[in-house]
Amino acid sequence: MSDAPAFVLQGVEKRYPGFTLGPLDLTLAAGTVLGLVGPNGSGKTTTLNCIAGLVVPDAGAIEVGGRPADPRQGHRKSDLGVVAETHGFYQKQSVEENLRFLSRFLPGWSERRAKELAGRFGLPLDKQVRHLSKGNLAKLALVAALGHGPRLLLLDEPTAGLDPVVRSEVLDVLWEVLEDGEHAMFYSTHVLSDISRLADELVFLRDGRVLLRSGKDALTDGWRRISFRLAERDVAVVGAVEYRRVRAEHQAVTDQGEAALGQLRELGAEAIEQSRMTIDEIAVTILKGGSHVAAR
Amino acid sequence: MWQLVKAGLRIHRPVLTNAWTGSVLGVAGLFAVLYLVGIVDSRHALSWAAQALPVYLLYASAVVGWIIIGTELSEHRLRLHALLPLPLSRVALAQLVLPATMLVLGLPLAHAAAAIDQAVFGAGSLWLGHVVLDLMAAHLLLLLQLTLAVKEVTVLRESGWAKAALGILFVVLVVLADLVVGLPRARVVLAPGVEISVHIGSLAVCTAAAAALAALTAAFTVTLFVRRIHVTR
Repeated sequence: MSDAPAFVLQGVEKRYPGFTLGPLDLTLAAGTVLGLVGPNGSGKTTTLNCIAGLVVPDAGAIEVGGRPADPRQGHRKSDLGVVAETHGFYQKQSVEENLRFLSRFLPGWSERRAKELAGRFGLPLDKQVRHLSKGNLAKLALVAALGHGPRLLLLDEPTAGLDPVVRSEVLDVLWEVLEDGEHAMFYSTHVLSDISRLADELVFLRDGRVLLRSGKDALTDGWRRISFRLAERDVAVVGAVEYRRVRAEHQAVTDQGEAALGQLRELGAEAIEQSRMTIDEIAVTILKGGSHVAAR
Repeated sequence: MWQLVKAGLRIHRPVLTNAWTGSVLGVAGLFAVLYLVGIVDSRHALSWAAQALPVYLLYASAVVGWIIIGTELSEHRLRLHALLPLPLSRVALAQLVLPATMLVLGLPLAHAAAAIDQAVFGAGSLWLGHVVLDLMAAHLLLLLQLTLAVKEVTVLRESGWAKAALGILFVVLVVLADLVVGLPRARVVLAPGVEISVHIGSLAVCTAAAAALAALTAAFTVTLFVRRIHVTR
């Protein structure tokens, strides 16, 4: 397995009327999972498309698997598996015929692996793509992305619109794929419970800019909601992302929970109550906080 | 590139064979109706149907070309092809070659139908000769290529109106050039008192000119495609 990062983005910028992505500096280490979290229109799909070579950035450099990525050349794409909302499958062909089409172009394609995955998902191989349900279409996209064992998986909301059972199946398969440590995954989603299961690190994106990049464990360990009673004056709580006071009742959200608790004990705060935050709560706080969080 | 074209051919072949079958049955049906309502007698109905068939086969093949362009667009095929380990220039060429192939396959069939017609009804009965079929095929090929060029110009609009305007200008110039050199006797009125009048005479020269314009348009389309800022649609 190559030690080169799965991808490196350096100062990548993409400008559209009314929206600019970047400049983005992002690295994904080989064999790791990076979750990309952001509201609609934050630039998640554009970022993934730049890495996949579907969108040419206006500035910056992209390396995939240690090699400069030229969107006009195709060779590096054999190491990529992409799942996106739009697939481009042949609608009047069966699932099997679409997979056979891909097998002719993708080196390393394993028919056994593809059929195994399709069987696992209960994907009807003989059904025309146009007659597939949304869930089955997502499964087909995943089989198509995994059939050639790519080193880098780019997943753009792969579980969007799927029912909980199918979503769970998809996540199980992705989890198994990651087990060998040879696959890197860049996963964008709104469903944070998906990411919290798979991702090693999270990147929060808003308005085309990275607000925060953090390890998943650091997030869940560090972020706390704390309430306490102290004198009727504002307190600069360590790592405070949110803070409010009503007379002597204080409430804060901090990303440095332990340090903040130590500080409050030293200050003589009373009735200190603290709770850990879920990834969802943390994400909402970060994305609502926007530049405030990024500037800290 | 050829792999993509071959795969496309395999997938779209039923549409082509259906179109050819439809042409044969359509022409036969049309002249059968004309015979039944008494507009033509049986001898003429058969003769006219035979004479019309080569042109219908050619048109049907071209229509399949346009159906392919539409299907590939509506099914976002580019998205699938752009993620294959192929250089973008080959993906672009495959997009151009696949619809054109329908016409290339239809042309020999049209010639064969014309030859049978000639053999059965005599050379004198043939109102559309082989050379005319070639000329029509060259023009249909050009129209197919212009369709794809217009698609690229539409995408080019996202890079700025000035570039798109140049693209539109190219398309207009190709159409004008075809009107002038693609027909044996042409008179194009550009504005009151401004006209171009050309008399080439030779159908073979006109066919070559139209085919050359089709090749030029294809080169223009590929150039625009590989300079695209995105290949998401």
